[in-house]
Amino acid sequence: MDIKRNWWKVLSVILMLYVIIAGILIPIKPGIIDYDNASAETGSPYEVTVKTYNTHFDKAQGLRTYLLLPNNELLVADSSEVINAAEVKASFNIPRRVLRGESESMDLSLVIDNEIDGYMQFPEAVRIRPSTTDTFNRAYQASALMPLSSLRDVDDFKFPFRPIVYETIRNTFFHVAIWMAMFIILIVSCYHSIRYLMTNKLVHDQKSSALTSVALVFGIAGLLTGSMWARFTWGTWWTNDVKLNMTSIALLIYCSYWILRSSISDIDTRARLSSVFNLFSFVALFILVMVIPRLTDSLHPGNGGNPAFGDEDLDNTLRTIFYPAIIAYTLIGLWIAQLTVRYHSAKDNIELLIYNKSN
Amino acid sequence: MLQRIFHIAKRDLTLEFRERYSFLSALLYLVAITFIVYKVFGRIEQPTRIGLFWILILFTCINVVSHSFSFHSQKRKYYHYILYRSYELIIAKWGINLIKMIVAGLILAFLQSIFANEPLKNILLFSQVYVLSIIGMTAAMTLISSISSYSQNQNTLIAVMSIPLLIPILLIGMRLSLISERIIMDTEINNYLMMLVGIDIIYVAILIIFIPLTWKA
Amino acid sequence: MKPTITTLFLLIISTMTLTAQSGIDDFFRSTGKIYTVLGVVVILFLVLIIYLIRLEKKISKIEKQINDE
Repeated sequence: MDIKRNWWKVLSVILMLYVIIAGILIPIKPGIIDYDNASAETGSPYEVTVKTYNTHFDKAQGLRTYLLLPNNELLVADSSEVINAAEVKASFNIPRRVLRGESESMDLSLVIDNEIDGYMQFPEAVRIRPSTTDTFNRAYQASALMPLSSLRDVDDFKFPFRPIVYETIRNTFFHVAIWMAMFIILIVSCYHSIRYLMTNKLVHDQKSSALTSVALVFGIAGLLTGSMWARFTWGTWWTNDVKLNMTSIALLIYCSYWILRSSISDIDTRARLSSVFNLFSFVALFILVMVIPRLTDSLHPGNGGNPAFGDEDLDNTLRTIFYPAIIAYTLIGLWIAQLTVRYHSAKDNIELLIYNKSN
Repeated sequence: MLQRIFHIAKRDLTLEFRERYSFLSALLYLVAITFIVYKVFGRIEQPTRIGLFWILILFTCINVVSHSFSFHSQKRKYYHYILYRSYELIIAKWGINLIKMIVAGLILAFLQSIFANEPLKNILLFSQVYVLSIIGMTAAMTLISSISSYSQNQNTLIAVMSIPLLIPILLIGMRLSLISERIIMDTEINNYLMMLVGIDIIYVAILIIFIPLTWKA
Repeated sequence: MKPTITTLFLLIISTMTLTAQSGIDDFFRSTGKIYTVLGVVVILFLVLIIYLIRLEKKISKIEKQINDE
């Protein structure tokens, strides 16, 4: 194989290796999975056992547990008792005046930090209600307060921790990236359709159809992987989600593209019509991508009604692997498409040869 | 140019009138299904009625528009290609389909109001939405029927190819008509209408740009 | 269109639904759901490999044709 001409294939293999190795080996940040007590009263003690993931409580020295108050101050637990590496029992004395109004209740975030793992939080974990008892105990000593800046942060290269998602955040490189690659391949396919319509060279039609078939395979892979991911995070194989519906429509469109191709026998007519249909369906797909998400909410991050992920949605550690993953899949797709095109041209040549021989 | 388009449309209409059974059969299909559905289910809820309306319109559209190229023999196509500019021809054809679909929509809405014993709540908005979505739908269907007229199994192919492409229009149309029937509340009516207009413009532009390419044979 | 891929799709979906009992569920959810990631990678791998095998078969058919000539 000529390396100079096929440098992009080498690049695709290297990138793919990088994505698989780095995407699986880099650990995720520690985080809070679960806790057992979700309600507290003002002016009374509050005890909670917190389960975490990927933490080193047994090795850490200065473990502290906090509640994050609305004015961005931290209420430090009086005692944080380490049970094992991923479990801690904390007890607080909630002050009498956390709340502004009398009957108001509020949700506080639970925060844990130590010098090895850095800090982790569970947003809106504990609901604090005003005290129901009237007894006024002078000896009651509320927990101490600390400024937010005293939280210890560890600067290391790890994937972010998200509730429910946990380790499957890595699927960003395998599921999301393959969708992106599918769209890029479809754009390349449209480019070749336009080239065909301008030049009438059959090579372009072959390229465009090969690219579409690769995109279809990527789409099926994306749908299957998405289904798998959804099963263990959202609980069902198939949700009635916008993106799912949109992509299944996209797959339908490209299936009908193949039906169209197979139903026309004349080569030039087929090439012309399928190029036109390819362009049309890409435009329709583009409209679909813009339109449907506006009509309904989505479970997928970045769509309506799902602000929980916010700017952490694709943080810099994920990006360093996500973008190479897109490039890797796209290059591999182009590689497969190139093989398909070469197969078709070889087939045409042979048929021509046989035809010439028989005459 | 407009004159020529009108000329073609007029001539096509007379041709269509001679072969009027195809349009009438599509209408009969519409009426029969509406009748059967109302007889079988008795009373139909408003959202179901709107859904039924759009699905029936979709299938009538497929029926009506798929006939617009099947009558054309290869020779007549060639003759057209020499005589007129392709975009004039296609605008005339599309206009005829539009008129047919408006008639079909009127009949369907009328029938549903009678059977359900309940008129449409906001006729102005509903007809606006209907016309806007039918413009895009007929444009897409005309292009697709022109593409699929080269293949052997034309009718199946049209259904398979067009339904995914019409989904955005159908979704917005359904949403807007639900709003006009006051089943869901939404303040973004103008936004949706603008989206519909945008899709119409894109589809009509695609129709006019691509139709000559499908005829080059 | 592509019979093998479509059947594979149906096969995987049906087997996944059949085996989706609590034991398997717990397995895929254990250790921070890392096995879900594994499953996703395996599916991706399988789909690509099956597509490549199809291509391979087609090409070997052509090679046979060349040798016959």
